[in-house]
Amino acid sequence: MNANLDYDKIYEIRLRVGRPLFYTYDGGEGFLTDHDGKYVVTREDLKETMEYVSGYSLYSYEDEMRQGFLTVQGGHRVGVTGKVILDGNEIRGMKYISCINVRLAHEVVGCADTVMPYIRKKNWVAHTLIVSPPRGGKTTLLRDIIRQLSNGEDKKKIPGMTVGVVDERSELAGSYQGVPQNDLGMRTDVLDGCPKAEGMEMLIRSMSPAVVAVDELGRKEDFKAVESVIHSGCKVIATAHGDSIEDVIHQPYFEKLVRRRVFERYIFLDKGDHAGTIMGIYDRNGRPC
Amino acid sequence: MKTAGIILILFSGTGLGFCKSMELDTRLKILETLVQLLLLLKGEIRCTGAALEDAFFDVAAKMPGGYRLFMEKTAKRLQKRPGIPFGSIFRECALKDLPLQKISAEERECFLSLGEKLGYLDREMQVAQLTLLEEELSHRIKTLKNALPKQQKTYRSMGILGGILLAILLW
Repeated sequence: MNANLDYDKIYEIRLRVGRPLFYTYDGGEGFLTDHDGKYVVTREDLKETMEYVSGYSLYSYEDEMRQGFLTVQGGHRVGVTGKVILDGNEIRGMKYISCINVRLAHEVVGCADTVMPYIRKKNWVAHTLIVSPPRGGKTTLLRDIIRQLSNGEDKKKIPGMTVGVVDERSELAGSYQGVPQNDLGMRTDVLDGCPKAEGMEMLIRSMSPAVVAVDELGRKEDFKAVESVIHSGCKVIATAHGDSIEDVIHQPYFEKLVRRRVFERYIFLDKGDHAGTIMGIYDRNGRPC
Repeated sequence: MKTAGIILILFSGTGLGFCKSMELDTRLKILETLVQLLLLLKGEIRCTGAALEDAFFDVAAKMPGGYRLFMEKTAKRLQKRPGIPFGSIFRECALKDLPLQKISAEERECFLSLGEKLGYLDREMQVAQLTLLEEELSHRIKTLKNALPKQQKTYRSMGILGGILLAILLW
């Protein structure tokens, strides 16, 4: 089967036992076909795919499987569903895998160029919150912001700075065996697979970051940790789900941070024509920058 | 000339008997080495949770001769991610580098089928599969050891007597 596809435009490939194989391509959807029509995925296909992505060692990804996904070389994420094995109420693992979703990592180097002048001056970085609906491009934007902060800009004589990243779901760095597969810059330290709250505390205690970056704040502990980071003198760059500032305020724990004007910049994204479309950049008072 | 021929026949018969008897020794040694290999592999997977390619490399360092070669070659093929099932890689490498033709067909198939069971699902399952095969081979080793002295004696005796019978017939 030769799909004749541009692999830079493939974002997801889904394999479900007994159903056609389809993929997300350039914003749309497509099916893999053979001479008989749509190619139907077999259980054997799934097993071989899992063998391949796990380096024939799926058992060594037990911790990741409990979370329902594994990150493989290249920073790609393979989500898995099947029969969950429970130990009491805790998920111990998974068997009879019936569906795989391969999310291909695509870093967009330079996508933060337009926002950098608003969030960084020579000796200043803003506490920044990036807000977008799901699949709006906030993680991709955050990744490039981290890279640019870390590397600095020689032309503008802006020095690089140490950035600490808590990459709880391995989406930012796409670390494989602890090594980031995406370019997060030369001065970036990554805590891979670590809960955000604990990770932020660890970073400020031991890695002396100038900036701490986290993706998708949500739990009560995360916000407490953000406050600790701010009080320690570090800058915070984070993301949140939402369409507007009202959306963000209505989320638990965000209201306090927004009302106290902790975040100095809000960047709103929308899917628009493509993910990562910047709808607006606002200051801490909600005024457009 | 006739006498020389008879002596040769006697020696051949005896030699054949002793050869068959040594084959049993060889078969026992191979089974014992395979069990050692399984134990080491089980240890790597259970204690370190190492991926198969790493586990195979680590075990290779502790195995002799052809067994080391088998483990190293399998690990190198796994590293290349050839896109074929692990069972096929394991079988190909084992048939090429291990002296499996010297054990029985059942024992050979028993060992080769391990490739279809390794690598997938959880660590406990891997350890269980290795333990199962280890126990099966250990049982065969025990049975063979018990029968060995008698069988070896039988082969040697048959060889000598066979040689004598042939010598008499040809005389």
